[in-house]
Amino acid sequence: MEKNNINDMDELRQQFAILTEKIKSQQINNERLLRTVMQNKMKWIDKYIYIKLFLLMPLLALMFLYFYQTGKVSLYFYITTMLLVAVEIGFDFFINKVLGKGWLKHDLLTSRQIFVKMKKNRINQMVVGIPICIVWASIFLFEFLNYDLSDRAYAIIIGTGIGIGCLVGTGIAFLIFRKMQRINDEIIKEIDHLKE
Amino acid sequence: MNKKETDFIRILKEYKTTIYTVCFMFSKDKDEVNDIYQEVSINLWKGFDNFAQKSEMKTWIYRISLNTCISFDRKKKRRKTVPLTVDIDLFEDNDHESKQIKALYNRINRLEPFDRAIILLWLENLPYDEIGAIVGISTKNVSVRLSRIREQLKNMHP
Repeated sequence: MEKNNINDMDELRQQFAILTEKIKSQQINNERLLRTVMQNKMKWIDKYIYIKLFLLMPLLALMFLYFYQTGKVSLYFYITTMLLVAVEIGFDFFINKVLGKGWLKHDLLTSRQIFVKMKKNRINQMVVGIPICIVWASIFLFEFLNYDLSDRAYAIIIGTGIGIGCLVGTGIAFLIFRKMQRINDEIIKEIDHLKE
Repeated sequence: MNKKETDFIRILKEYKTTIYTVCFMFSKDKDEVNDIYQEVSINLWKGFDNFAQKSEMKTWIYRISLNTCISFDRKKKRRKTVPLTVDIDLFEDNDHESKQIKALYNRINRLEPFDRAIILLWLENLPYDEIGAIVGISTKNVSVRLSRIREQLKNMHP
């Protein structure tokens, strides 16, 4: 059995040698690939965070300032909105730039553990963020449409809309949460299997 | 072209076989090899400034390549990939050598990602301590894992 084991591994080595010889004869890299690779200066996630911080946040600030000045939303709502956006961007920054800093350069096990931590935090961000979004959207609709308590029909329509929105939103959030959690569990299993 | 770019291109050409082999073992078809190879190259480029010669170049290349392959999200819509200059298709060709390669692929590809990484590093004749350093486990654990992997491979039907 030991002899068979050795033969099996010899066979693997021979096959591997064939593979590397075959690849060695290929050019693989070309000018266009090298140019495309070296054009990448910033990770997409960094671009995403900077766009949110320097483009989206100022745009939202101006838009809601306009709504406030035209009496569509209260000052309290405006300030809360900007604070929520700032917290959300802060969370993105924390997960990707602090927790995930240089995660690729570590050994495989450490990288995978960092990856798990980042994913867990993203799940938490989503679990907290989606209900807050739903509540925010409801209050925004409420303020923006200048809800008149005396109009019963109007109240029923708006209330029903908000209720359905909350239910659908919560359902979608739960499904996404379960899927992300399942992926994370699979990765954790891989890590535990390696540590056995 | 500046010195950094010249050095990077030289290294990418020198280690193309290593990188392509790893990408091949973690892909399901030629297009996926292209995608992952480009992703690995980009990650090597972005980490090039921070590679301060603290470890061997080959170890660093392996670490980035394997990390990229293991974490590669196959379901995500990727950026446009540049085709590689390769005139073989290791998944489709049917000559004798390609059949040998497919037999190797079919066995190794069935292993868990970390085990696949370990056996690849072993096939590259890396010493156990280097394998341990890349994977993040002790030399003793490398030896134990390799025994288990050999058993698994032996029990696999081709």
